Formats: sequence, structure tokens, C-alpha cells
Amino acid sequence: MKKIILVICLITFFSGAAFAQLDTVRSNKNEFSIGYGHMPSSSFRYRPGCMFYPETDNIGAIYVTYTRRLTKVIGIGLTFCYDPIHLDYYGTVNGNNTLICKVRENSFTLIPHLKINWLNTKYVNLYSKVGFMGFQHVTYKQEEYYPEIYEVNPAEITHYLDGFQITPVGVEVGTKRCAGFIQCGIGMEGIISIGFRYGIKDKE
Amino acid sequence: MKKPLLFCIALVALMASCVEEPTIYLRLPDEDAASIPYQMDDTIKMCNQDGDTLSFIVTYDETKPFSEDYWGYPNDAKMSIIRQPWCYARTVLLHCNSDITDSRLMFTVIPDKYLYFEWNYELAIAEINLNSPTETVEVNGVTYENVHVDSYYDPQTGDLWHLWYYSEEVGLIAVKNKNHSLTLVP
Repeated sequence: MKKIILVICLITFFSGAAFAQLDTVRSNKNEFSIGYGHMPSSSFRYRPGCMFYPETDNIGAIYVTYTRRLTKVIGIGLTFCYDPIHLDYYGTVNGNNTLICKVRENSFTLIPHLKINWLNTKYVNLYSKVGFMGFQHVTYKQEEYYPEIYEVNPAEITHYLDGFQITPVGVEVGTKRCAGFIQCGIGMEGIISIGFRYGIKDKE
Repeated sequence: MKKPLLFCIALVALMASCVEEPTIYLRLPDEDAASIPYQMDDTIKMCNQDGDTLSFIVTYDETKPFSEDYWGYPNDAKMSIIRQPWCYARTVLLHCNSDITDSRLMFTVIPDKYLYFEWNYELAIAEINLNSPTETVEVNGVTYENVHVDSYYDPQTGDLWHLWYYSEEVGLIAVKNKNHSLTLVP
């Protein structure tokens, strides 16, 4: 609860500071960013009635983004996202709960996005971002340990346009050129993610 | 209320589509599959409660992925949203179509020798672990060893719901409920 109050206070503080500096609007023409997202969409699996549910190790997503500013408010760009996933399946062998199958997936996604900076100030930006129809490529590796007892049929890997990201709110804090950011949303970039943004060819 | 619910469902569906997972089935060992001693086209003669002799023919014998939710539908295994298939099961169907009756007996065995039995869908349904202790019984003057005896009684009245004798070597020896019965003709 204390953390939530602290976050609200920080947002209020930065928002207040931001509104006070609306006259010093800035906008980068080209922006590059790199970030790490906790709990990307691969962390959520819904398989009702499934008997073998894996123990997972979602490292999180690492992504790089390029955004081209069309106006001070609107930018479009691409996000490349890497999301490694480890799935360990356990089953009963001779009465013991034993590892029966390991799956290692690496997801590479390229998502076009639209970024809207709804507050541009000297030190703080607030933005929203959406990206859909991302092309996803998945590498899949499976190891079986008891093929005589368990039949493991590999997943059918499909490469289709299902990468997405919805970021209702993100905060960038820093100078015109360099800033750190934190954002929350859902999708390939995680529920919450942090990163670093670098802007070039500023346009005042 | 409906809109947020639909939104949440759509969101979950969208997110759930992002991970590819393997399908895992526990295999059915040959020894477990052999605990149903019938083969395709075998004929088994049974005597009903009226003394009529019925010829049951094995018309279905398949090993397929199994879920507890649709073990009763071997010919039309439907996808279940309650439980997904998790193992292989062997299902054998005995069918008797005569002037007297149109009757069917179905046996399904899953790994670890767990047997499901069904008689005409509603006359008797049983589940039994074939690793459980067996008995020696006498039916119509014939003594059978290693017989699994399973019985169900109404907890209120104590009336018999159904009783059955099953042997891994012979198959079904007898099954009966309040009004009907089948007994193996040696």
C-alpha cells in the first residue's frame, strides 16, 4: 500500500512539474530506446483442464524500439522484442514426481507501434503506446526424458501476426537527449517495464 | 457488466495465444491394455435375468487419448473444456442387437489399470482399480479366481444399485442391478 501511495505521489509531483513547464515543449525527431519488461504476454497461459501444467521460468522480455516523430505528439515506429521462455513439465514416474519434458522457446517479435506523447515538457514526458499485428517468430526446442512412458507431441509453431503491446501510460524522465522511462501495460513488453531512451535530431 | 467481462475474455484469449506448448499423454502399457481380454469380433454369450442367452460381439476396440469427461463416448470423442486428454486409454465395446434387446457393454482401461465399465449408459456405471485385491467367486456353478467384485448400494435404503464381477483373464463374469442382470455363459 505504501508503494502505491509513493507511486501516486511521484506521478503527481512529476505531472505538476510538467504542467508548470508546458512552455518548454520539446520533441525528438528520432528516438531509440532499450528496455526490459517484466511479465510479458507469454507469462500468461490459459489452458483449462490441462493435466500437465508446466513450471515456468519467464525471464522477461528485452526489447529495442525506434520511433519516428511525425509531430510533437504523434510518433510511429517499430519494436523488436526478444522473449525467452522455459517450460518444465513434471509427471509421475515410478511413484515420484519427475521432470519428463523440457521446452525452451525463444520468441522474436517485430511490432509496429503508435506512440502518443500527451505531455511533453523539459524533463518529463507522459505517453501512451499501442502496437498490433506484430510478426512473431518462435524457435522451439524440446527434450524428453521418459519417452517410453510419456508421449510428448511438439507444439505446432506458427509464425503469424499476433504480437501486440498496449501501454496506457509511460513516463520518461530526463533530458532532451537521454531519459529513463517506466511504463505499464500488457503485451510483448511486459506488464511493467523500464528502460533508457535516446533521442536525436531534436526539434524545438 | 457484460462489456468488461467480454473485454477480459478477449484479453485473456489474446494473451493465451502467445505461447506454444506441447501435448503430453501418458502411454498405456501393453500389460494394462491386456486387462480387457476381448479382441475385435470376439463373441461372448451372456444370460440375462429372464434366462435368455444373448450374444455380444466386440464391435469397437481402439486406443485413443482419453479424458474422464468423455470416456462414455468412444465413437464420438469430443473436445472437453473441462479436462483435456492426458493419457491413452483402450476402449472395447460389446454390442448385442437381437429381437430381445439392443444392449451394449463398454470397457475402458487407462494407465495403472483403472477400469471404467458401462452397461447401456444407464443400467450400470462402475470404476474400479484393477490393482485392488481380488476374490474367488462361484457363479452358476463355475468357480472363478482373481475376480474383482464391485458393488454399489443406495446409502438411504440399502437397496442394490449394481454389482459386478470382473476378471482380467475372463472379462465380465456377471453384472446385475435391481431389475436386470447379465451372467457369463461358460
